[in-house]
Amino acid sequence: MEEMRASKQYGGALPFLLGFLVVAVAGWVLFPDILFVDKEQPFRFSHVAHVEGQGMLCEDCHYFREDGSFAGFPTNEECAMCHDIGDPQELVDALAEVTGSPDNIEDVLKQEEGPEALDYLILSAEPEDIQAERAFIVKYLAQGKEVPWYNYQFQPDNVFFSHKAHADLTMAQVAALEGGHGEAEAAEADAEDGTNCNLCHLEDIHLRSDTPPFQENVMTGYSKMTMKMWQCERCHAQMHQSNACYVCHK
Amino acid sequence: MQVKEFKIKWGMVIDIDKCSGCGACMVSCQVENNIAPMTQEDPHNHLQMMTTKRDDPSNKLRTLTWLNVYELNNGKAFPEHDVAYLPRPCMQCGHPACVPVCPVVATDKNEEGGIVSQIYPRCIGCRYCMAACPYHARYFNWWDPLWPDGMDKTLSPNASVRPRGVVEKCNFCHTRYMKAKDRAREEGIDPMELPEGYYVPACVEACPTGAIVFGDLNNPEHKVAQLAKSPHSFRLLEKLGLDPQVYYMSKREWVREQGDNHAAGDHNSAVKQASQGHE
Repeated sequence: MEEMRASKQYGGALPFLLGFLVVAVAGWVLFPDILFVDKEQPFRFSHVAHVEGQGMLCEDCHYFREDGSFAGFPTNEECAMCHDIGDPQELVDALAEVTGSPDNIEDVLKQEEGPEALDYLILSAEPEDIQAERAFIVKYLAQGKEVPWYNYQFQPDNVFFSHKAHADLTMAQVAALEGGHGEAEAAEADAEDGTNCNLCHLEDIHLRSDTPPFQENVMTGYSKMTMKMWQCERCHAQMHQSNACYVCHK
Repeated sequence: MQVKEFKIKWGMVIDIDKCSGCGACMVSCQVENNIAPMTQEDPHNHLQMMTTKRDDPSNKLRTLTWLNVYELNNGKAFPEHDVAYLPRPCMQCGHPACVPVCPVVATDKNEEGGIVSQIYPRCIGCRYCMAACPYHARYFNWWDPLWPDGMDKTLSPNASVRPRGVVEKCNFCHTRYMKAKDRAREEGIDPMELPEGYYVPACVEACPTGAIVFGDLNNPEHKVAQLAKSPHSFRLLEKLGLDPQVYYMSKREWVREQGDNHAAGDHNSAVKQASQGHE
């Protein structure tokens, strides 16, 4: 009898609903924010400055190599075709004169301009672009380090994704798929110029002058934008392509 | 059981008479597929004093050799004594014994080309497949892979590294197949009709005597298709009826006989039974 009284005192639908509500809100609203942490790219990269400003084409940096593999991020060597710093040692020496030691040349980034040897290399016109370019030259080009970009679509080590196999897929094909395709609508803008990059990559990146933060899943380390296996499989099934394990895995 | 048919059937013909037993194929396989050298000490294990040492390479039951070279001999004394060497990759069987026993579908034979797949993150390490495989082509990771300092720079992006507790095996250097298809697309060649030599595993490339020939068994233009039909060619344990995609060749009869390791006299009846069972 004791127990029955106890359950009358504390039980009932209201406390249950309240508890349910609290947990649901926490799980739905708060948890996703805790699960992902924003990580900033090494420096701000402006596609606008390169595409609109300099009239470069996407393929100038992101192209297929002769063996059919895809060059994703350009290397320092490719960037240096325009961003030519001459002898890196001379630049390091010039920066070291200002900061006092070659070990802390990155301190020059604390000031907005100077020294002369660095200002002379800057190709940008906008203040924000100039700061980004200074960071690129001092942190990476001068020190001969490749830029450790975060890859928004980074896939696990046992996945082999072929850009070449998907290159001829048009957005019209994807949009017309039976059962629809969530990303197709967002990607429609691409249908006009023929590429389908929007399907997986940051939407209309060529029109952006910033680099949004990389959202890292704190539990897995993967990007929030990494395509999941079910998404790959769904499109393969809709396109009547094989979903055999070794089509994507290695 | 029906043999799964594919338009492409990647296969190997290994000429045992050309094999000198040098082991270049084994080495190239280990490098290509990120197979770690075995080291007893684990520098990351700070409780080494209290824990068991890892196995060293002398423990052949626990080393990983996707491709293993066996030594055969005819069992006769000196003047008639004869040896042969037999490299053994995964046979990529037509109806593999390992696939139906896997409780989690971590291994399957479903991709065009007929290569038996092994998906490491899916494997639960029960080792039923190892028990089922009559060729001992499958290996279990008893230890996490460990590369001595500096040697990790030899890691290849072509193969996913396996953790402790999963089974692995030869997959005909499958990433090379994927890359060959990409190259074909770039060059305007149909990836379903790769020309001979477009895709070869590392062992084939490394073999100094050209003993291993690789290609599409279904494509009459490929050399393997003709060699597989040679009167000197045979497959290992053919009487089991697993229909391997790896063929061997030898002009020496004793070698061919050992390939189908049977009790004397029952060879023909066993083959007959096996083929009846699969029709």
